[in-house]
Amino acid sequence: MSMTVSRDVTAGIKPPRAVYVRFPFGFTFGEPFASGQQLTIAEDALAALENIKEPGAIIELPYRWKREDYAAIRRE
Amino acid sequence: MNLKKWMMARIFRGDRWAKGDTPWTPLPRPVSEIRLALIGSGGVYCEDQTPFDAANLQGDWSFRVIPNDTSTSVLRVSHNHYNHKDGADKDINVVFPLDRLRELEAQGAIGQLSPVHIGFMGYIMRPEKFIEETAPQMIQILKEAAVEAALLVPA
Repeated sequence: MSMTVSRDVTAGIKPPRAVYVRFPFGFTFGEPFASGQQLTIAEDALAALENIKEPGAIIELPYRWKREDYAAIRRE
Repeated sequence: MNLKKWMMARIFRGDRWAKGDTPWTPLPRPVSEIRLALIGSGGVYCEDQTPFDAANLQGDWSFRVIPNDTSTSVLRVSHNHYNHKDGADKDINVVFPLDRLRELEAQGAIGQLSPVHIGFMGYIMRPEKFIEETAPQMIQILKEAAVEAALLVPA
């Protein structure tokens, strides 16, 4: 399961399973000490690991960096 | 985003793209029953290990084994090609989320974490060295640890 912040690069490298987050370079799981944000990304990555059945699939996560209530997302 | 485009054009040249079909191994069991390893390319190493040679323009294609019982407080970053000052230097979990994976293991969402994880520095201008020398060594270590899946995290 490959995480990525560069969808185009990952599309060229063609890993079996990928999750794309629209976060900056160096912040793949979010902000420092934002454990709720980090956990959200980790949970979604593990879900993708289990759910992707098509080689080369890239799942794009919808999160907008700081502009999300990650605690509320995780309660859903 | 402009930095991303610049780096993509400079580093990820078209002739370096993967050739052939995407490899595929089905997940043998649900994630809640598998053994998972963490592999990060953000230049993560333990403070008692040799740092990556971040200043080398050719890059550094070596890797470090990070034991699963390592406290994240002793993990460091050696990498000159992304901003870790404002992120990973403060909280390594932004590029190497070992604490979060431990929480998920404790909750039962992950079967178990591998006894070993792997850090390397993604700035490698000799990718053939990484592919032909480094990757097979990493795979051997993970096979010996009976790892069934890996989470790969770029910086």
